[in-house]
Amino acid sequence: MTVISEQERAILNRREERFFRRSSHTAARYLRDMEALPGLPNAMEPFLTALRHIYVDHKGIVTSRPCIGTYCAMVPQELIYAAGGMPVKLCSGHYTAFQIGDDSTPRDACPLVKAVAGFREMKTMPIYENCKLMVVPTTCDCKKKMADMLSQEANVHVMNLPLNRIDDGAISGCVIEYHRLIEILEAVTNQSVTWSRLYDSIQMVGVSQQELSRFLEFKRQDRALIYGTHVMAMMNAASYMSLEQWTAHLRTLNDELSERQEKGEYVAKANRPRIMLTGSPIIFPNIKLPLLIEQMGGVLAADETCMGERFMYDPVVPVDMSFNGLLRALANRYVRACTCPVFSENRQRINRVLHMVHEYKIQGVIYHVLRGCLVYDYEFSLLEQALEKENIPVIRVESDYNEEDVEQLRIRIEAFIELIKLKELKEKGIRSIHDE
Amino acid sequence: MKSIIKTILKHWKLLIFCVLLGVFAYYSWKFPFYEFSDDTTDYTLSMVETDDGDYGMYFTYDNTDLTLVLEKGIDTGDIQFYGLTTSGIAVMSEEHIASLTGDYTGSFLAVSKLQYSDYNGDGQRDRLHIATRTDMEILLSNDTEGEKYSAEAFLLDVVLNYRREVQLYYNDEPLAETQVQVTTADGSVINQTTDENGVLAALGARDAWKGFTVAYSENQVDFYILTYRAEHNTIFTARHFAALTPLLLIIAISALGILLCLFARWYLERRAYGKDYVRRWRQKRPHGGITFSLFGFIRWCCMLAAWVIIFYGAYIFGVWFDNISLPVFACGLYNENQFISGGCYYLANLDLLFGLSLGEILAYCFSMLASMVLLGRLICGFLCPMGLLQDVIHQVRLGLKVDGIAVDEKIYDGLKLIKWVFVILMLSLCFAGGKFCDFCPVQTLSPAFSGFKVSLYAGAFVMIGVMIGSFFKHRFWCTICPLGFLIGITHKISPVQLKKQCEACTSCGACYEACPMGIKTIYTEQEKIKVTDWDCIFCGECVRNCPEDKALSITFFGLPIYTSSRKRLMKRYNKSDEMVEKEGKL
Repeated sequence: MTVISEQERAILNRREERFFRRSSHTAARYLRDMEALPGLPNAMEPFLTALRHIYVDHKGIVTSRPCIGTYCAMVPQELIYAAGGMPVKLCSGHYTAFQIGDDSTPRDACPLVKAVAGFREMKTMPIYENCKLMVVPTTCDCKKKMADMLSQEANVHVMNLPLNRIDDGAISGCVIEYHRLIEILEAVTNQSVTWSRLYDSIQMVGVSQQELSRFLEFKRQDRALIYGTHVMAMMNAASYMSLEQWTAHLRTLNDELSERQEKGEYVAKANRPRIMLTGSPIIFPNIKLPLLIEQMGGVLAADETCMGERFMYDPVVPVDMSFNGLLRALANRYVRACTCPVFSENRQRINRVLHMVHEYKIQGVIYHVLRGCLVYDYEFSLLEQALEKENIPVIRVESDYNEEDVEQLRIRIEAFIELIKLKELKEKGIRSIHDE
Repeated sequence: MKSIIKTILKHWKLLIFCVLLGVFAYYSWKFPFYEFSDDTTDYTLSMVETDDGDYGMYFTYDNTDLTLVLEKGIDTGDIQFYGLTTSGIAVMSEEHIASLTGDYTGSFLAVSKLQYSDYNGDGQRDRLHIATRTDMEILLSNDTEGEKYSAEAFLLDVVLNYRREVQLYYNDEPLAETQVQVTTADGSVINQTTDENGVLAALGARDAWKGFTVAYSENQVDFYILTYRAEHNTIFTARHFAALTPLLLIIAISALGILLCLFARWYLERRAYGKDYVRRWRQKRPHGGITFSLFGFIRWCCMLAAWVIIFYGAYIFGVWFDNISLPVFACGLYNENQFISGGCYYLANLDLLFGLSLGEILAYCFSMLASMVLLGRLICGFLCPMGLLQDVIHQVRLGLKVDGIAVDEKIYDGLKLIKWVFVILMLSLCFAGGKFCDFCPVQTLSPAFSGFKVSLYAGAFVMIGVMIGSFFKHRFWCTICPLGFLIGITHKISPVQLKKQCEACTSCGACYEACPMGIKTIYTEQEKIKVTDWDCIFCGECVRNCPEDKALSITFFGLPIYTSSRKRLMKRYNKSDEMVEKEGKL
């Protein structure tokens, strides 16, 4: 054991203090910006409070269950709930932690992993420190190496993920993997995963997905009832709340939105360009992109990102009711339905984006790539081709976890929104000429 | 072709199994499971005198007891019995009546001695020649004409042709264009005129089963009165249950086999994973039993209706369609009560099909092709009695909350090979001298339910396998059904289509998981709209389990009849609504 001198301790303490100050500052500012957006529903308050609780006050999650940290969207939360745990999504969008982690990770590593590395180095963030277990699926290269890095300090379980999922063997492999995960979870939580518990947790997640489906119906309206940035925050908050709470709050939000719809209270004018965001994850407090879109006069009508709608969208459909059948249904939902580009064949993501473009009446797509996020970058050209056929403009926006690029992004997004408006005008103009 | 060879090479063990299967099929008649005697030795013949009626007599059946009922005025001593034997008409002595020998083919004629009475009400005494005739089920067939007694026994004769056509003979000649008096079972008396062949057009199979009396007189002095009755397979009687005996036996053996399989699984899992593991996996569960869906309900109604019509249709409505065949597995040869004959019979006996007249061949081919094109494998999902049986077994498993067996693509590959073997056997066994019908599991089902006693051979053993298989795997037989495979040929042009809006698909694989036929393309397809597979039986499970709005739909002539809906799927989770309210249930 190394002995730390008082001087060193003082330096560490100062560093910690600085970290917290800066972290609170950024998070609080983004929360303020979000609140400043007009038309914030009252029912959003619990979600913003949850984010504030974690990132401004730096507190742990309020729960009596043992926290199980998860990365990516492929760890079945049903299994964790069934084992009596509380899943916490640890993928981070933290600017301050990113700067700290920058030194200990390769230059080209993605900022998300750098932020996680920063938290590991600081060892002060309660949501990380309270975790009894961290589950890391083998998704992209950065996450794989991150798993090893984390395991030096924490209890980490690496969950193997089949990257070619068409094969039936991949799904049976997943089931074996889930059995291993169950064993490890049981050791941590002292609660055995029985059929009833698993079934109940699937039902519970199903209920919240049902509520989310209702919410998405509101989002499909021609005019926005709620800003996309708020939706982002709401979806982000699901990572730090128990699902029952989140669903209950979502229910009040839905009720409020349906009231708004009846009264005709829309948050944006009908002519605001409807924009969709897809690509690398948007995680609070790195919420600058959605904010910019809506500050610059667009509406973030839909998102296809893994901390957004995607990770709650697909329901588990148990067909075979045996224990392994339920696990297979989980594997189908978390592996086969997943649109993450780490899977070799991912044509379904293009289809999904196209479907959303039609469903949400999207006029332009912003493709977000975090610096170093190769897998998402790969799929840009494919999506560009597909969207070109549909005559939907798309831009690729690369960003990092800092605020240096905000102004540059602002200009590009503003130009993009103007482009959509112009395109619409042109189409209308042509139509009016034809009418005459 | 390449894929077939590849599959064969991959499954060489299975190939040996298939060869054995072929040998088993060829010698199927050498493996008797349950044999009914096909002569009259089981039957007993007796006479009863009653005080009812007036100068009448008729036969009644009670399972295997054949009784001649004599009405007032006729005594036991007046009766002369005739019987048809393999070597012609025989006059039966008393000892023959007491115990029937195997020679009798199943037709009896009882002639009373001359009676005197005023029959036509003209005040004069008439000479009454009274007789009654019966034909047993084993003698009658849809394909053959009835046999006739000679005029020496009785001048008037009633013959039932093809189980539905009543023909009159008088003095060995057809009684053409003559008026006769017919008394039907309900007591109504009508005057009927026969056509040029002596056929009474107004009488059908149902009249023959219930019994009717024909009276004819040439000179208004000699009256010939003949009561005819064919043995009809009395449904829900002792005879019916006797016919069902082998099927019940098969069900019992299958149930035993299922229990054995369950025990073996329990034992092996316990040995492999320990006690705790079994408790967790196979625990008695409160949920997850039978689920209801409207489409499924309609499908079940269709199958039940088809079951009744196919098995008892002729019994209820009479025989309507003779040459028309429907491509379902329902034994046309043994089950004579079918409304529409099952097309499987001539497919399994192609040599007999070629022996038919051109018109019959054309009618058969046309009706088969037309229904195949029009309905495709909708027939499998909505009409096939074998499908209903499997669905019932599946629902029993769901109701008992017993775990099934997960079948993945490797096993489906193997099953495909077995299916090809079945197809080859079905189409070619008749040319090689075998009989596919004896090997076919459906033979145990269709005749028995209609009340026909059909001896069972290897097919019964196959049926036991099919029953055990379909308990653990939904629609197990359908995956290897040769007829279904042949119906599937039209899947591309049939108006019944399974369509997919690829854009809406999230490739979650729920459809593939739910599909009882293991069709994978339905989930992997990313571009085409038509995803109807050769194997698709339109059971609607994929549509029911699809979580995306309008991603999958079953269409008929382009009209969607069943479309996937997220809202409907999400209703499954309504039941646990209270979970959200009270936190910490888990």
